[in-house]
Amino acid sequence: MARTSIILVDEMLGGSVPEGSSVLFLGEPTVESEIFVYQAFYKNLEMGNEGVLVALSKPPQYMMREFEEYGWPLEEYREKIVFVDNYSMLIGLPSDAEFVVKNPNDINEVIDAIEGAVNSTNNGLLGIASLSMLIDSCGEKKFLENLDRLKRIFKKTKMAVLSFVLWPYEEETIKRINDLDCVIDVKGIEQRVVFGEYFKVSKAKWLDRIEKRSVMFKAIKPGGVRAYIPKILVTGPFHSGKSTFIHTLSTRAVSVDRLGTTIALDHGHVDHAGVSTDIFGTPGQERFDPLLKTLSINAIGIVVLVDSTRPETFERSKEMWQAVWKTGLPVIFLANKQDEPDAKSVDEIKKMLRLPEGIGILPCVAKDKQKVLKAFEELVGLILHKKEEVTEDE
Amino acid sequence: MSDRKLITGIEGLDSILIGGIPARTVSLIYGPPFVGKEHFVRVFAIECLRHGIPAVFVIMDVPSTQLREEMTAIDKNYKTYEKNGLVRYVDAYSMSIGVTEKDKYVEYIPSAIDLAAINLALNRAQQAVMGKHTHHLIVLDSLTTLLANTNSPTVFRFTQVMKGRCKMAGATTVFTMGSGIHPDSDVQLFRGIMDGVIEFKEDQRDAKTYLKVQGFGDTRSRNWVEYNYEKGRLEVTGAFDIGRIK
Repeated sequence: MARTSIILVDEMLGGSVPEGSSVLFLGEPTVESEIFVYQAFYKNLEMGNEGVLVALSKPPQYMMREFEEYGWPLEEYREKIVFVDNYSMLIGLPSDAEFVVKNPNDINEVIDAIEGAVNSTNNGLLGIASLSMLIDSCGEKKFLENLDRLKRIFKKTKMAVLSFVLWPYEEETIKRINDLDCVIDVKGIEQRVVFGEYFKVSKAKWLDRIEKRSVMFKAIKPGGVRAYIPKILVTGPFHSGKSTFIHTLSTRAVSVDRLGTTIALDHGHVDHAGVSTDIFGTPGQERFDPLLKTLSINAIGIVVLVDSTRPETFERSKEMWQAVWKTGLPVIFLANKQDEPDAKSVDEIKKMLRLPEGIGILPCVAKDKQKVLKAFEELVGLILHKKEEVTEDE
Repeated sequence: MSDRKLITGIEGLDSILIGGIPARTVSLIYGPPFVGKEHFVRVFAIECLRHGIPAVFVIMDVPSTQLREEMTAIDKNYKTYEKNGLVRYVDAYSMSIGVTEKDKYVEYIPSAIDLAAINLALNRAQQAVMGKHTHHLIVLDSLTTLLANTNSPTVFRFTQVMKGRCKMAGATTVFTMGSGIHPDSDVQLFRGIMDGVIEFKEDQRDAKTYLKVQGFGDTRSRNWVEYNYEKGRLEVTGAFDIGRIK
């Protein structure tokens, strides 16, 4: 079996990919789809696999530089990589790739080189970013005539990870490209310009059912593909530890304080365990309550801090939660200040809060990074595994 | 600038266009080399910047550093426009000649055949300049280089997508293309998806230069009109009909 090692992709594909499968990231022209090929390829090298990397739109040395920008130094695995250079001859550059295509516009020559490279490896990965470049250089008709041959080559690999840019090709081309073993749509969220990207599995031949879940992502340098959660809201009564929680959790954070309390919104950014997210903290004082509903707009996860040392504020925690929560929105309560001697236990707090079924409460010490990260991972798990609908695969 | 038209900065041409190039249109600037069409595009961009309209240059024939120098030669305030966040570049040339320096206003693309990368970089550049501006200018120089590196169906697909996206984003988009290089069928293909064409030519008999406007709705003339391009200055010198032509 093979894996892409990209967060949530493997999970959505049933944990692994049968060997010889082609996994296609089918991207709109305005979104990053090449990054998925790069990431899967590098992670497989890290796992000890060999691989063939096809350079279609830039020389191999430029590809290596791009990998480097993501924090993936291909040089360390150079002896495990076989490059097919389908670019250098186009502009008369010398190439030291293992397979150099002399005439990049001749699809037969290109495919011969890819096949030769695949045969030279031992059950290696094949990475092509992006397959649509073959259409652009050789023509749609030639591409379609040779697509079955390419598919036979894909079957000889451990896994073929491909990207394809969905330019306005002919209907037949789009239909045939969707006939690969696995298709993952990569799309943009657009208003004047693309400001968000997401992926979802639209097909995986080895699965009986496909989870119809869309995952927002960002491509970060360094780091690669990160599941992106646009907004997590942190709320709770005055002095429950919200700002401390955000500052402990975040890679970078800012607060506006006066006389020891927050008088505006805390904001932090977190990049942890394959997830990137922005965290917003509400002020705790009651005079800011009219803002709570507005602040909760577009939040897709809520953290409610409870001051374990002050039972008189427990109802206030619940009140603030109810002001920002919508049915179904992932929420987690954190019993903060558990390190203090007069802190109520999690069980006691749970009893006193009388939370509905399914809403959990975790112990927390907002100054303790490990505990804070654990809470964050718990909430992220609730958010990312929230399914939209499950349908039968065709 | 009216809300609907962008002044080109070429006086006679703005009269022909009855105020300028309509905003949110897609234009083709077409003509042979050395007749001033690149200069026209630079002057137009400077005029937009002077009126606070941001500009994104997608370039594949010169490095962004050279373009910056040429723009500064036209308007010494050009670097101020950059500093004020009004200018970005998508440079698909510099890396191909081995330039490794990076510039914060530039998105670098390794090769002009990677149209997907150009598209993504353009999106990032637009995000950087748009802000609260309702308009912005995009200049792609040139379709000729894209065609030389790939083929017309590929570049046509790219141009179609770019046209749709740019209009949606509120951009006025200008493409340049060299004449006398491409088959007529290719030229007609691209002309067919533009809102207007400003064509330049040089008469081999008398070495005089002419321009004409097609499309763009109302104009004062569809005829060839003489212009002069020398010492870095372009001006319409010929007469054109008074009266609107639809």
